[in-house]
Amino acid sequence: MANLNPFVVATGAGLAAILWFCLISVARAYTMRRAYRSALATVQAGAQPHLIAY
Amino acid sequence: MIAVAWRLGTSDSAAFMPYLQALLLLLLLAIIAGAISSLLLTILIVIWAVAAARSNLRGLPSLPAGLAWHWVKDMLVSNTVHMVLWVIPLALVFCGIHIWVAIVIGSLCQLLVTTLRATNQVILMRWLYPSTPIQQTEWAQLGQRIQA
Repeated sequence: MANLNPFVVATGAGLAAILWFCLISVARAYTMRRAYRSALATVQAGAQPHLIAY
Repeated sequence: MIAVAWRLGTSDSAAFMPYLQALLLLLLLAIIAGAISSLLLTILIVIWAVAAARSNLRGLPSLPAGLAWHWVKDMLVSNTVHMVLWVIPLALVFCGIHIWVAIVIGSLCQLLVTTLRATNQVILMRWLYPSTPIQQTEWAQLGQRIQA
């Protein structure tokens, strides 16, 4: 533990956080895209869609 | 991180001073992560779902760029206010106040901002997107239908 450079640890953790949160953001947005397309397809088929919530 | 912050708020903070620069670097990277990911989320949601849905609902050609800019503006203002109101009390830890006092102050600030935002939503909307209330235009009779 004492041999770890705190700057290397901070940089690694920070870059990992950036990558992780960007990945989660894309996943959330893609989930919304799928929900919207699914609701649109339901409406176009003449049925009542379920609630679109996010 | 929490353990380090906890110790910074106690009398033993001198032992963690060598890590101050690294902690500030981590804080900066965390702020960048928060800003980039919320921007990405906002822009992708507008382009993938909101602009497309509005285009279908109103039968108009969608304008994702303008809509994305409105959402980004709203997000940047609220995120910046929330972040500043958390960073200020947490930064006071380095001036010697206890970490729990900073957390309580930050939470109260967040509660205050959330309440003010919820109760003044129309005023904020008109400030972010300058517009005239429909009651003051030639389509005044449509106002009641919109309220209903």
